[in-house]
Amino acid sequence: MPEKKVVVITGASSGIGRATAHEFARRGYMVVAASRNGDALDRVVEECRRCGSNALAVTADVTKEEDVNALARTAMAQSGRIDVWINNAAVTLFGCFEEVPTADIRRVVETNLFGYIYGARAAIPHFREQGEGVLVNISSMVALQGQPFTATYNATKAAERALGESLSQELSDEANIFVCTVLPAVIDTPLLRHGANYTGRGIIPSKPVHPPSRVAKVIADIAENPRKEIFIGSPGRWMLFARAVAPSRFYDKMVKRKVEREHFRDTVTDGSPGNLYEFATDDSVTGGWYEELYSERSGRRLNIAMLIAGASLALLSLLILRKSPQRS
Amino acid sequence: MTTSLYKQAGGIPPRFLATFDSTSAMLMALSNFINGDDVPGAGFLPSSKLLASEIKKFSRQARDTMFALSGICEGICPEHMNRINSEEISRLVTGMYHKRPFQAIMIGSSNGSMVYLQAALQAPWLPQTFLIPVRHPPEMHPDRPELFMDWARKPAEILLKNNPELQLHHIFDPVQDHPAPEYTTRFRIKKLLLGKEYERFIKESLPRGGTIFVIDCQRKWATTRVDERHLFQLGSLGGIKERESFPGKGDVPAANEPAPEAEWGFDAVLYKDIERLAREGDYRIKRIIFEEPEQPSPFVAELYRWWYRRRRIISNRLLAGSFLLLDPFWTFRTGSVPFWMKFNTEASANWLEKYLNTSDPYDEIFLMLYAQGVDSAGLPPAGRWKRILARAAKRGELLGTDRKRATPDFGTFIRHYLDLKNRIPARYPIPGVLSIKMLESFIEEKGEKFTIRFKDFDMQEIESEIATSKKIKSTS
Repeated sequence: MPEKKVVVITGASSGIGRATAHEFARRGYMVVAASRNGDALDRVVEECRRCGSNALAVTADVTKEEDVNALARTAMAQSGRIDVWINNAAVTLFGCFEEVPTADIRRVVETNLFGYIYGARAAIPHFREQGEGVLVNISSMVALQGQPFTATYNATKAAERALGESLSQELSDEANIFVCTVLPAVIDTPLLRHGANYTGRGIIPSKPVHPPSRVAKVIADIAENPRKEIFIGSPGRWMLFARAVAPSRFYDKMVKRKVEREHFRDTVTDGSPGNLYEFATDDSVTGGWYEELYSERSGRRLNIAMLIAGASLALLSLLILRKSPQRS
Repeated sequence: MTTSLYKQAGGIPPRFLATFDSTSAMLMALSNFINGDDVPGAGFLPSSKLLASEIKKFSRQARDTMFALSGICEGICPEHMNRINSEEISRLVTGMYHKRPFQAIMIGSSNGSMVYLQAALQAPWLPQTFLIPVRHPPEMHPDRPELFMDWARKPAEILLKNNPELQLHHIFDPVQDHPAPEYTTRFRIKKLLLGKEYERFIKESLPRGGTIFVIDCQRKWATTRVDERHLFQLGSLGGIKERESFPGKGDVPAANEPAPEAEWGFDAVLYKDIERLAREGDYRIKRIIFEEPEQPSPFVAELYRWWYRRRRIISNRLLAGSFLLLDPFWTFRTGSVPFWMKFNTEASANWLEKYLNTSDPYDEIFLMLYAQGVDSAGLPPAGRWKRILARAAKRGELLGTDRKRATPDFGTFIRHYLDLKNRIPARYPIPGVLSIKMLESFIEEKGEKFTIRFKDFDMQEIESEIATSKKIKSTS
């Protein structure tokens, strides 16, 4: 690498962001790690240095445009360029849509959507000036299919995907500027523990769960060999397939049942805004779900089960369609 | 360029019109931009790296011959003067713009800065002046301008008789023409009336209430009146100076009539026709007045900077081009601030330096220096430009000029384009149209800093200006 490349990562203090910082550091990038949690960032910087790369911590709240612009300015001042910008900082909100506080809905939109918008608007001018750069938006598989009780989160993830696609089209004349969207399935991060929750029940991830290091590797790969969209984890694809072939009412009920059965614990919780307004002190990379819920083998077994379920669903749908009376 | 012009015009090529000229090159740059294209090879050479490097190897003599040959090929025989039809030229111009409505149309002087203003406003420009190179007998010596003046009477008479809306400015400048005066002499024609084709285009392209900007470069030159609509101009901007004596100047009758400078000046007589058309079409006329061709450059540069900042463009890059080295398409794509220089003379270098003294500093400065393939008098040494480039905070470079060669060469026309594309990595989108309202708010905010004036049209004022000009003629 003739010149050290620079990556800016928002939400780098925990979860996917932190794992991604480690991955880029291992690949020799200078990492500019941003988050609300300054203390955690200092630890991330230290970890990146241990991986052999220089790193910089910038405390920033992505809901504030001036913070995001300052992040870009700091990265430019320190390194003279930004090669990769990763919009990753996100929060979530569980609850019956009409019952959750409007302020919390707004906060989720401000973080997940406006945070990405500010990030894109801070990064792209530098990419244009350099004539090159990669913007990576970490969206989710729920961008392509709904999920009950996290409607706001899903809406922002779908918006992030739409934002990415639109920007990719807007920048399609620029040979060396790319916008990529990563659509992970369920990842073992502290997101669910930190998220706002008004369901009255504890939250656990629905199966299967993938390690954040896998997402980080894919993000780093896509930054080096850009492509417009990439799924991480097979459930995203299977669910899409099911959504395409199953009767819609049936599909909706099936998803709702799956979420009710798999996403909630039996424990009772008070309504809480989680980390929407104050950052969480837990700054770990993983949420500890992986060890708690699955072994590698059971994860694979679940994939096979989902494959069979998807195929059965397709078959069932075809039979239903064939038996349906011709509509006039 | 000829081919491209004709292709776009979709008509029979008017063989008499010069293509290696400011009007043609600027017209090409603007119309291509408005139609969504760039201008490879300055519009008249293929954009080939190989060709550019081969041309560079030519000897001085070969380059002189090449330049002369290009002049000969473009020149029209005096016997063919009756083929010249100004409406044919107008059709060529109007055919270069795709048919669609525009918020404004510009009419008048050729000017590189104005091309950038026209590009920003996406306003088609209808030039007043065109160049017709005319071949002359080989026995006429380039040091005897009076012979040229007399010889031109007959072809001029035919030209003007067939085209009553034209005025001829026969220009003679051994410095600027070298080595072409051995083969051709330059007829610059100015339209004193719009003519049917310009009128049709304006009526079809400018909705009622639209604005006609008149580019009114008031640069005058002491000329000799040969006939009612036939003037003889000895010297030109960037060449032999006004009333300057030079060896072998010959016995030219006294140049005592200040007329609009042949290449750049605007003849105010055209206002009458514009005013009539504006009344009929309910158009607004706005005059853009300046004394010297380069005067609008700082205005346009600062307008672009102001506009870029509003568009949140980081760019702090100056792209200074000279004469016909200009390309609005790549100026926008690289997010550059354009600064146009008439030529790459000492005076132009001073003007650019004066601008840099007053403007906010630039991070990057790029220079595209015109090179016609032969050394011309008045060109500053390379060090002069290096000093200007050194004013850039981060990067200052010549584009299109071979830094190892002091003498200019034809390859510049190709290389400036290739360098512009390849050596500036920045890529910005082609912007939407700069509205007249935005232009006016810039003028209101910053206009006082500049010598260029935007004035509402007043026929009485024009008539008084024409009368004053006549008075000067009679007293001088």
